[in-house]
Amino acid sequence: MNHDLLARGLFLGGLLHFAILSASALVPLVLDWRGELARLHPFMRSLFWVYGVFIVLVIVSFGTVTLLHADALASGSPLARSFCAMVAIFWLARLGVQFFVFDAKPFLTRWFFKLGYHALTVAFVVLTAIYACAAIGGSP
Amino acid sequence: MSLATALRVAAFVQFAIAITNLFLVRIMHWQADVVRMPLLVREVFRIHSFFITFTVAAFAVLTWRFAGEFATGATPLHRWLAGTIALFWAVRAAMQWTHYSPSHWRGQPARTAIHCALSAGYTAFAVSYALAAFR
Repeated sequence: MNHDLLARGLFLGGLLHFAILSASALVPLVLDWRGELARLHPFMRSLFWVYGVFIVLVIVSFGTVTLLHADALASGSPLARSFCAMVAIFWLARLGVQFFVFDAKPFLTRWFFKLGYHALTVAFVVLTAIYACAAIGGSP
Repeated sequence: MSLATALRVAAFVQFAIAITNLFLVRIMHWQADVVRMPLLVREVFRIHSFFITFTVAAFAVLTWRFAGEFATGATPLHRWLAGTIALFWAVRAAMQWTHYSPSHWRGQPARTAIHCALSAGYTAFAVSYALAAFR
């Protein structure tokens, strides 16, 4: 695969991570996590927020490393391929969750929620495709 | 111990943490608490748990495979990835003290020992990866 095209695609992928984070920032508000979590045991509540913080941290890390090293990630080196494979699997799994685990219909009550939900699905598909291409077809 | 060996040990322990995380609810006897969660919260909890497990396992595999290169800071990409993993564990070590209430472990020797062991382990991970990042 063309190296420059792949590097540009990866740069777009890096930006998409931050776009997803911006959209995800609304989720706790829309789903009233604070109210829902108030009923949990304090330790479980703490653990829930720790998991949330780390998911954000992982997405920030993927985005930052990709934006700063898109060229190296497109190079097809063993580390680049491994990292891209890891990110591709991460987003493929997230796509699977979107289709097979969460039933978002009850929450898609307004047009902009529907738009956001479908935009997220497209973003997950695009991220999976870009990183899978880099994992399989990266070249110096 | 060389840095490459320390990173391989970190990889092994991270893999063990990832596997343990899959069974954490059962190990900690949280089944009843999880069942009581509202459906959406329960689903989010399980999904987050899965993704944390996947990420830590992936860190372990990457580290095991590329320990020698991480230890020498072979390329900027190696150093940045090491720095990223160092940050992940540094935040985890800090949260062990700042986020969880001491009431979960204070006055209970076994829990205090686990709390101290986890803090030391997370800090050791952060230091090992930070050393690799700043080679």
